[in-house]
Amino acid sequence: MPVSLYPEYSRLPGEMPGGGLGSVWVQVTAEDGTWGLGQAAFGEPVAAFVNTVIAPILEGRNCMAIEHLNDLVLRVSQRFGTSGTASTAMSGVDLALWDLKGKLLGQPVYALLGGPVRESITCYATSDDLDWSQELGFTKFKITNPAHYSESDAGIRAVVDHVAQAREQVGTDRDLMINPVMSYNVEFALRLLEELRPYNLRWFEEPLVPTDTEGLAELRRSAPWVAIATGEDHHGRHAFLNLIEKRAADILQPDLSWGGGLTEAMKVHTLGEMAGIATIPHGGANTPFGQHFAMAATESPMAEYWLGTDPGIPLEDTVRIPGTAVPVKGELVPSTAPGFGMEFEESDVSDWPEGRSG
Amino acid sequence: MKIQTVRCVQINAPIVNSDPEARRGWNEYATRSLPVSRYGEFSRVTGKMPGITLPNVWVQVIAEDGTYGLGRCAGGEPAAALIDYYIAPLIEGRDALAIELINDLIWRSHEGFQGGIATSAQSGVDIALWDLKGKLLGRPVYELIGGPSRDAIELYATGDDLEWMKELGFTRFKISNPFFYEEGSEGLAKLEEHVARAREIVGDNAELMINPIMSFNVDLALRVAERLRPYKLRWFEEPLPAWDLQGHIELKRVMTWTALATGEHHYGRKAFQQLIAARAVDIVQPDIEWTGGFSETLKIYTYAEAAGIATISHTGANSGWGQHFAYAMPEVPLSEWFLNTDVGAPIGGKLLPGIPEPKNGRVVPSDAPGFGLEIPDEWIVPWDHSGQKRATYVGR
Repeated sequence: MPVSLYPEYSRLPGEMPGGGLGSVWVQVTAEDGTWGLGQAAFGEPVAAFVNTVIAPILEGRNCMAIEHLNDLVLRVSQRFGTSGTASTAMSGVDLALWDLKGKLLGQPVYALLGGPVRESITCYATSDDLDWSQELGFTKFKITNPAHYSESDAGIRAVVDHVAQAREQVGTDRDLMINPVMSYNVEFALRLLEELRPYNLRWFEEPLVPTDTEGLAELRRSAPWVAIATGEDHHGRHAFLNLIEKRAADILQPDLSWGGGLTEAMKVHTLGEMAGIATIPHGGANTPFGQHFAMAATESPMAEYWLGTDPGIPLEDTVRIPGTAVPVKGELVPSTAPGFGMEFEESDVSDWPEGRSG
Repeated sequence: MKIQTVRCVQINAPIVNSDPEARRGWNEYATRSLPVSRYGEFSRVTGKMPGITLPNVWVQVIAEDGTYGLGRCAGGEPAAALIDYYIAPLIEGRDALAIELINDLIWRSHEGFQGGIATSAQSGVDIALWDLKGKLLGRPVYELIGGPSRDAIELYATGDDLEWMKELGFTRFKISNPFFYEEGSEGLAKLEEHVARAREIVGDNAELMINPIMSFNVDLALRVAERLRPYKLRWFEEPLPAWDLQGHIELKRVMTWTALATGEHHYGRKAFQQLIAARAVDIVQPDIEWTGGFSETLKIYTYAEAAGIATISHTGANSGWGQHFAYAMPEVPLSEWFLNTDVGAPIGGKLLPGIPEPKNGRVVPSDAPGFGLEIPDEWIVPWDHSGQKRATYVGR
């Protein structure tokens, strides 16, 4: 991650600064008592934004008018920045509004969006436990990255070894991807891509920080043997339009809980679709939100399943949102229940304790 | 809920005879220009020009429970044949709510001849699917797409009967263009006189637009823009044919004093993506019944919105779908009311039952399910494929 430039910090995701801010759930309740739930991230700052900025603007308005509600929040946030905390907070609200709309209309969200456009969702597994991923029946794999650009040639050797080993394990005809999560700069990425050329990667994910659009466009032009995927840290339609129009990415990867919600992700998909570029949301298959997106978005050829649990534990035992489907042999079919099909009870929901990190 | 039947129909609304004493509206006297006006043999009254005489086609999509939706598109018998013989078999039996899937299937099946008639045919089917979806879910379509975003839709009026339009309460006006580019300086003078008179009638502070409907080339469009500079037009609409992307780019760069609007003859998302990505336009004007439908218009809107460009659909306020689109989406500042009635007659005279008419330059769509059409079942009859007539064209 970018902060890995400073060796004083741990490299385990949960222990890095900025990495420990957990989920924030948003509940939107209609006047008839029906409610929807959405999941945002990044702890107390986001919760405070929802409660102090968004709630007072939206309460009392038509809960079906999701375009209008998103537009209001976007305009209110313009002065201090529509991305980051604001778009993450809006993500939770937007997802809750879609869940509520589905429940009020008695339909799964994907049907409201014009789906299903496929019978099931093909998933790739993100994990370094490749033997476990294979045992579960996945045939597409994404691995982590062990290096930061500050490690220069030694870092390049470490990545190449890591990729070589993974390629050997999954075989030559399987999709294999790597995700450096913004750990590179352009010169490091270019030299590394030259070394990785023989390993036939399906895509190279988020090598640079999201602001470096020119850098991504340069990588894409200079290494036509691999697709450039990015987007989990791009928030909102304008960041993606910039990527698309500068021809800086082959695959767009918005995060539904960070980048503005389902509404924004559908807009990003439309922009990509119109320019001939696929959209594969970050961690999409792990949440009902991403699953419903994938059932409704035509130009979304697969979804990411992030394997965050120990090998050997059946996936259905690892589900944290009740009612969420899990992949079977790499294929997934979401719930057809109204909204996102989450099976939370009223008693599962409690007030946000102020000051909590997540 | 599955789609049981997709079929083209005709809506046999009772014919209302106009008052013989009434002053005929602009559509029956204003001579206008279109690309075919290069050939002097043809009439310049729009309804009589070749290519404009293809009748509208209605599409009825019936779900397995008997609920149906209605949509409309242009293209006459060629579009009707495409719908009944090719599109219907492709989509009957599928999930009626899966509109994205159905559109994608139609696009991919007709990729080889997209644009024009095929895109128009798809529009009629897509609109009917949205009407059906609204009826099945018991909601107005504007709510399904995330609206409303405003209390009422602000309108501009298109027509040359400016005194009457003012009397009706409109404050924004779009006039026709009588001039084709080959008429040179003489035509230019005639056009300036037309615009000057309009500006005088509407006053300095009213918004005024002009619509040459592809009658110019870049050369003449630049001359016209310069000549009309003192009249402070709000926008200059579709001066060039839709295919002239480089011409639009050039005109947009040069004509900084007036906005450039276009799109009613751009068919499908790709044409708009190219126009917007090149920043060759200020306002996009897809026609919901021609460009691929309601879904396609929403996609075009989304790209324009991300690029900071407004979408004002062609003759939007004259249909339920246009009203629902304008009511729902944030970056739709205005909607067009195309005046199609006699001077002094009720302006909603040609609206179908259930579609509200403007009052004082504003309109609020019906909140009934679907697009709110209230057409009696007995008006709906199957499209008569064998009864379609050969066109006849009248001279000037």
